Amino acid sequence: MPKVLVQKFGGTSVDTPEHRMLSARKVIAAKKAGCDPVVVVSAIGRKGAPYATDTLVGELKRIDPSFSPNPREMDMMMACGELISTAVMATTLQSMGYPAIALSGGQAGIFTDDQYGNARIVQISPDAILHAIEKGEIPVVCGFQGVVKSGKDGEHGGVTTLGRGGSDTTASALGAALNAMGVEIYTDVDGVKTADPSMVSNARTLDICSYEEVAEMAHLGAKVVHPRAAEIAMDYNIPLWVKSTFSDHPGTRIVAECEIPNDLRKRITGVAHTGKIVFLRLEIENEAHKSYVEREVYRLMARAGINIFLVSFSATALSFAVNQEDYHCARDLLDGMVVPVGSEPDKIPASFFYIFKFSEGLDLAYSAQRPLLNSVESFITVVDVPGTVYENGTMVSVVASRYRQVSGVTATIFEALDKAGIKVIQVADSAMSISFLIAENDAIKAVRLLHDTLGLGTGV
Amino acid sequence: MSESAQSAVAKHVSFERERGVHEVHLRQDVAHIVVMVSGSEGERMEKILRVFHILADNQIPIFFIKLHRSVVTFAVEGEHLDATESALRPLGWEMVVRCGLALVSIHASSMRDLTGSIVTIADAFQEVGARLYGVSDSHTSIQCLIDAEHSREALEKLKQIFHLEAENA
Repeated sequence: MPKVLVQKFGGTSVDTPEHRMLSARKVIAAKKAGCDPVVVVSAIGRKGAPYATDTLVGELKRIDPSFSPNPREMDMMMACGELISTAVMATTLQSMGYPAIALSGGQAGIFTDDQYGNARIVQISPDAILHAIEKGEIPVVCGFQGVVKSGKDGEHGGVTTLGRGGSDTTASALGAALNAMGVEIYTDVDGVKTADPSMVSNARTLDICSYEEVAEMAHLGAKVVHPRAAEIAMDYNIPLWVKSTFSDHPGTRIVAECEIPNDLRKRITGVAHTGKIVFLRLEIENEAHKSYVEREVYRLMARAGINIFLVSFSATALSFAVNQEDYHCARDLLDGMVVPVGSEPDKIPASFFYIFKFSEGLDLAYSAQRPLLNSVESFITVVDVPGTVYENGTMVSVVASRYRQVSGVTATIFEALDKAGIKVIQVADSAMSISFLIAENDAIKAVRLLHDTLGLGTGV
Repeated sequence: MSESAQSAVAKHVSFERERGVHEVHLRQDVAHIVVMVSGSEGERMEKILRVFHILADNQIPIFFIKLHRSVVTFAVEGEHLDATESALRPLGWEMVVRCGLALVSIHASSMRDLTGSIVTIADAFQEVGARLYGVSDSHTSIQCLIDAEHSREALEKLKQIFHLEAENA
């Protein structure tokens, strides 16, 4: 039976000597229980701390604020946070009488592709880790980093970082590579919660949840395990735990759905909220041309690198959401945009010009462009596409396992929000969740309300 | 090497899912329902709630819910279509039913980070002549309601576009 236990400690678990001591005790407890712990650590502290990733990046950006540092050098800088943390943690364990060895991502055999800043693990050759275990040492591995296995320019060994959730991803991938008996993600909460405990005081820690549930929670804003880590654990069927460094709470066990007790398979798992969202609605009245014009809108957004979501369309309108940081770009692109359409879509010459127009004050390009089309109106029909904008939105989501097999969930949620005077602007659902676009200033109220209405604070 | 270390044999595998779309699925026999809910903002929401309650009281699970100015739309599994019509029509709800649709689901690890996926999908459907009746998206998927008649071709087209031909049945 494999006895490797991967234990990952986040920034707040290694930021002070006291916290490192608590983390080290978790490692020692695993060792005493007969496991071979493999420790993965994040950079020390969160934003603002001297060795936190953001602080290190700031050093490069300060060299010349008008110059964008090269992603390769950025990665090398960012990787320093984990190198420091690993050396400190290994020394902490040594000082407590437990032989330990600090390993960088490259030394631990973590190979990635060459997408600096957001690399993906492509191979793990854990010989050094296994060798350390064989010698009775505790390997302490840098999270969040690896080295290029084979780059486009023939580069080998360039230091890469894994992007968001990188240390969780390292832990999960090492768990898979080492056939670990489990991967424990240590953080500052007791486990996966039914809601953000800073927002909902009676948020409950889940005893057990599926990989899919935790990935969905994470995608929808819950800061638990990064979805990439959950995906790897799911693909390799590695049991995952989320535990607190600061308590003896048993934490949340994350397993395959088939291991979830039957009575919990169809359930509401939690409530989360995320994002600053702007919702746009475009009126395209000619049904014959609508799908063509819609595709031109999608294409324009894609060309500009703008992600659109919450897409919906009726017989006469297209609506979608963009992240707030993309909104001005999206609106500027659409304002005054002309889509020529033939008597049949895709055919030339054009018989129709569809021109996009937002409300007064947001229609500068339209105002300039529209008079230019007057001269062609005798042989081309010019059709205005009025656009409306809903700013300051956010998304509140209910994660519900097998939600589509449960009747009444939607009615319960809508009724609760309606009674509380919270307007639902749009809905998006998937097999695992249902999300509501609402006003940003209603977000906390909505999360608390849905948490209570759905009985999440008092459930099993 | 210790016994525990020996048992932890390294597996040389590709650990992370590929960037981009990794799976497409097709589910047949889905119906799309359009219910008229016109009126003032308050009346509209009241009507939507009544519709949802009627469906809940009749144990009908719904999905693919979308709110529009004068209609609410949703989908039901084909097996629930008769029950849906029986629950709503006798109470005077004006509705349009499109049955025999297919639900195509396109999955990616971080769908909302993939710029241009919607246009790629819409173009694929256009190419095979499959009309798109609705889209619903999440962080991990885009789901599309299309004509069942063209669903097989649409699925094959998507597999081709996303280089999944050999992977998904």
